Amino acid sequence: MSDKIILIDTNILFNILNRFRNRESLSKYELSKIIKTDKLFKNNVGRIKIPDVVINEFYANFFNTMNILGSRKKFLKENDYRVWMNLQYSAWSQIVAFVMTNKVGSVKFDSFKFYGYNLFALATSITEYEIPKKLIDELSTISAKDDYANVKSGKLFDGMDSIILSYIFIYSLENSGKKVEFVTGDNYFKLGGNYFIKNKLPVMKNFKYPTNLKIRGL
Amino acid sequence: MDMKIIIDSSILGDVFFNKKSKKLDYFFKNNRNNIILPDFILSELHSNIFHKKIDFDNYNQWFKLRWSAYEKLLFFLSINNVEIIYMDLNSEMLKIFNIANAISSMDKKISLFIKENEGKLKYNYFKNASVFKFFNYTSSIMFSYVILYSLSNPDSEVVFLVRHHILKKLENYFIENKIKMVGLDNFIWPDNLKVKLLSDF
Repeated sequence: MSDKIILIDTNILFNILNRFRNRESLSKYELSKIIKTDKLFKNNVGRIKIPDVVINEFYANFFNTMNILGSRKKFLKENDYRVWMNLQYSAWSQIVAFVMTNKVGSVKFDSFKFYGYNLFALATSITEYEIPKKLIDELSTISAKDDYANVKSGKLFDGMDSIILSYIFIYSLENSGKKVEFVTGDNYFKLGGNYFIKNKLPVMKNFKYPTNLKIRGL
Repeated sequence: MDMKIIIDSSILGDVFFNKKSKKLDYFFKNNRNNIILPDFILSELHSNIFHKKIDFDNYNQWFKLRWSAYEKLLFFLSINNVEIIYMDLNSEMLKIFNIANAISSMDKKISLFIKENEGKLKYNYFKNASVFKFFNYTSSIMFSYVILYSLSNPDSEVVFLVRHHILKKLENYFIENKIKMVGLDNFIWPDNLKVKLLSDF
């Protein structure tokens, strides 16, 4: 198992984006994430891949949620949108350039074989499963500073997370000859996902967890 | 031509959080045997119910309460003969993220949509929001799922029931104008799909 594939989470794409923001406007925490992201890409040229499901989550956040500037009563005009979208595109192009320079590949869902597993049914089962007390205790001990959003909103695998988790499970099963690492900036996702893998929680009948997958933080 | 109605997770959220109106009750009763619940929408609903606003300090009690409300929802769906369907992993269905990515990156078409609807897109559509949302969160995947379902069931009239006026308008705009999908040369829009609101029934 010499080859290693590194898949990245959506928050890593946002870290890349922050590289191009004015450094003075960034907090120390954000700066440290940028440095760690740079290091990840520098040390793993040719190994990193972005899943299409992650691209989708990024697009949904970045191109489809438009902050309304100025007056709250302002109507949305076509011109406002064009200007805003051009700004978003120019920021996105910086990510694309960064990704290409670091020889990052992509993973396509339509190349999956699945072995009879249904991605969405697996995601449904994961989110339906009662979280074990031990995991709840572990999640509660994570520094509130690091995962403020999770603590405040009480989230674990919300939104796309359960789909992303199922996606990387199935991807790892299909690449069982290789070591797969999923890198995320979300400590709750890391802790929760690894707990499911390590304890082989019986979320779905006959589901076999991959043995070659590790979820790690930056 | 029989009719299949796919309900958005926000509609189910109303049932779960006990916000359902008489109109919604009437809708479910009136459309018995026609309503389907795809696995993707169920998975979105689950993450909203069981993985948001978790009370980590009293998780057991919190989970039991949610679970009992969820069972009520399942009971409501079952007495109204709502069928849960699982994704058929044929080659067409596997394009789901390709289509979703094409939809969520389609700036020129959204721009045209805004141009045609300027003035109608008043801020009061989003009374308490500070953002305009298009295909955010899982909307593009949900829409792709519905498109693919309609293509695989050409003999049925498929209705996607959504909660937000803007989403109905935007999705119908895409369908009616048969918007060209960037990067998907062979993509064909279904002729049997309509997006509706509860008030349209």
